Amino acid sequence: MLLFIVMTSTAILFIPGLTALTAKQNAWLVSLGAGISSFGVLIISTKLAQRFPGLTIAEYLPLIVGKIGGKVLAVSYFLFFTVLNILVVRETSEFLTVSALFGTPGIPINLVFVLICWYSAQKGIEVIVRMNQFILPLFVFAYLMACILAIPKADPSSLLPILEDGISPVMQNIWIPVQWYGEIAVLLMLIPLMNKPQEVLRKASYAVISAMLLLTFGSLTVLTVLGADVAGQMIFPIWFTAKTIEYGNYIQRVELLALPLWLTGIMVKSSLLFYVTILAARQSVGRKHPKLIAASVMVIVFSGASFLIPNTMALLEFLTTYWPSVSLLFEVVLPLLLLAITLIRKKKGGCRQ
Amino acid sequence: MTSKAKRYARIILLILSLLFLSGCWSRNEVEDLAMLTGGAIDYSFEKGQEKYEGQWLIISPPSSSNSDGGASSSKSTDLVYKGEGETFMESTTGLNKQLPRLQTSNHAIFIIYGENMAKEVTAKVTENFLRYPESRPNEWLFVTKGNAGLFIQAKPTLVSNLFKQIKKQQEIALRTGVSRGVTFLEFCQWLLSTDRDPVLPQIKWNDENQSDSLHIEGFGVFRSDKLIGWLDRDESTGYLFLTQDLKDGLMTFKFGYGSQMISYQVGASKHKIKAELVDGKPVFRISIQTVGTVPDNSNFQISAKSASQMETAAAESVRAKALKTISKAREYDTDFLGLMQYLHRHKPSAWKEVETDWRKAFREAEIEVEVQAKIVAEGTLSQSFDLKD
Repeated sequence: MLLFIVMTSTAILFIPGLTALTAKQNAWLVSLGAGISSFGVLIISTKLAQRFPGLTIAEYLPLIVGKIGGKVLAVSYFLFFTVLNILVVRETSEFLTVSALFGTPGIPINLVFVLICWYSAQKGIEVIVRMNQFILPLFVFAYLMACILAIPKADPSSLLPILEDGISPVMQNIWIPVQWYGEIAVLLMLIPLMNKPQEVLRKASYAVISAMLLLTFGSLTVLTVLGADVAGQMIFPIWFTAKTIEYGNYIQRVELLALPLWLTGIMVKSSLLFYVTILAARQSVGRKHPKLIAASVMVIVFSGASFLIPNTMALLEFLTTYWPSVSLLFEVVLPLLLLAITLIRKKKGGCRQ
Repeated sequence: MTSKAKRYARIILLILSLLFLSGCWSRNEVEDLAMLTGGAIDYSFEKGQEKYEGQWLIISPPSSSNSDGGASSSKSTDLVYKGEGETFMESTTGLNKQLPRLQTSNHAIFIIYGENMAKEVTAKVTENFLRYPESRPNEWLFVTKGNAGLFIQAKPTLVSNLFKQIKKQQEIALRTGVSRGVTFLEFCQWLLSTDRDPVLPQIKWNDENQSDSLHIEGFGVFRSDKLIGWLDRDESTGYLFLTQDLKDGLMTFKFGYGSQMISYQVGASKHKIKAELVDGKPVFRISIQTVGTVPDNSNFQISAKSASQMETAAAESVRAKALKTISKAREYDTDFLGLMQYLHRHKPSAWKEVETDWRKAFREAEIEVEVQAKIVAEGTLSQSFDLKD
């Protein structure tokens, strides 16, 4: 459940627009394909974790590649999670400033958001999970409501022609949504915390499948309601799709009802990322000053989200050009390499319970 | 920190949170907003200087001193304000100088493009609207001959506000087959597509010397983002039949039967397009099926047999309008009928062949129209009047 919300909450805002720009009317196939390929990420990270039961990636990295290399990699993982969190916070404030709170500068939004998420991360994983249990149904409901109510405006023929230029544009674009699906790599840090680590593959597959179905459904709605040409122009096509909902003079302007529910979903995601980041920091940098580390993570994320990225254009450029390769490196390539090394050198470890 | 200090800190935090109760950062009370319900945009280019002129309707708030009791007063509550500027945004924000309230276009229902604007800067203004976070996809867009600004000052008939009139009137226009409303979203889709040209419904004065009430009839035709021509009433009807399935129609077609003119009232229609590529040229076969009644049969007894003859004659009159529209499309060299789009979507391999010069392909395309008109009723009488000598 937690993984599901991690994947869908921000992905639904960006994926339809980014993929429609290049894959046109076949963008829904892209999110479907990306979902399937993200099983690879899932399998790699669980296999890796199963070889080191009870340890997180920051802990078993030194076991695999030696002490110094392991430390370096662990710190880079910590940085990766931090940047990911910075992006999530920034995406949220961007979304809010163009949707509901125009006029509000991003900094207070970031501050409030970071404070809340950091606070819940401080309270531990169980708080985040319980919070998620409450929020997930609302999130799914809001999401489905936005999509289903927009369906009467949909024009299925705007999906035609399917695969106009063959399969290659779809394949080329799969790596854009894969970065969102690949956020399932937080599992690398989370598996040791589960009470039944053996079932993780099955449980996480449910999450991937349901996220894939929901995102594909969202993409389909966006494409049929807005059309690929318009959707490709927008930063947040799902928002514009929700705006088209209008039944007579009564049911209209419902998008603001869905907004807080989406927001809470993103909040869970950010809290989890905070938790993972702080955990990674503690395990890689040092265990001595947990409060200091936690506080500095918060400051880093807040200032990064507010000041590192000057404007929306830079955010989008970063998200489409640089970030995919970076995130694929950490989500797929590195775990795969590590898995290969452990398989070759037959390393195992961790505390068997 | 001692537990006492902690408790104080918590209380102070609680008190501080009261500060946020007053509302959000950029909150706006409804009383401080001026709701734009509709606008008209004109554009001129003189001596190297661009000028955008926007006239906007603002709904006037019911004042507390209104002794008539607000709702019962029948006079219009619209106010017209005007903004000018060298860019479009400047012209809209210029409006606010005159107002004690902050303008918001969240509730804009319609926007009228002036002729000059539609000819020169449609894409620019439309993109600007789409960028603007307050824009709604369901706004109705219109185009008009000459300046659009005057239309904003039209008096609403039968309803209290102009936006209500326009919102309803575009529905009626579709039913009577003279035009139809085009939403902002739809217009953007057409504008951005690679295979179809947009149209916008035309707004007109009820009579030539600019009386104070308006109606919606006809279409303005675009080629890419430039307004290049108009469809008259017949051609608009043809356009509707060629592009849409109609229901609840009230369209009347007159046709000669014998020595007399009879009218055929269409209630519903369906259309079907077949496209193929023959020798590198697209061939479109459009078949239209209509269902209607003959309420006005000039003292003429219709039998089952004569009904079928009438049907062919009625079909011919529908077909004539459709053909007129197609010849207009060829004349303007724009595919607002969506035929090439159909080819693109349903015959992608054929589209690949003509894609590079699809306008040429459309010019060369063979378009056949076939109409089947059905007469299902003749009103409430079974016998025509049989008058004495």
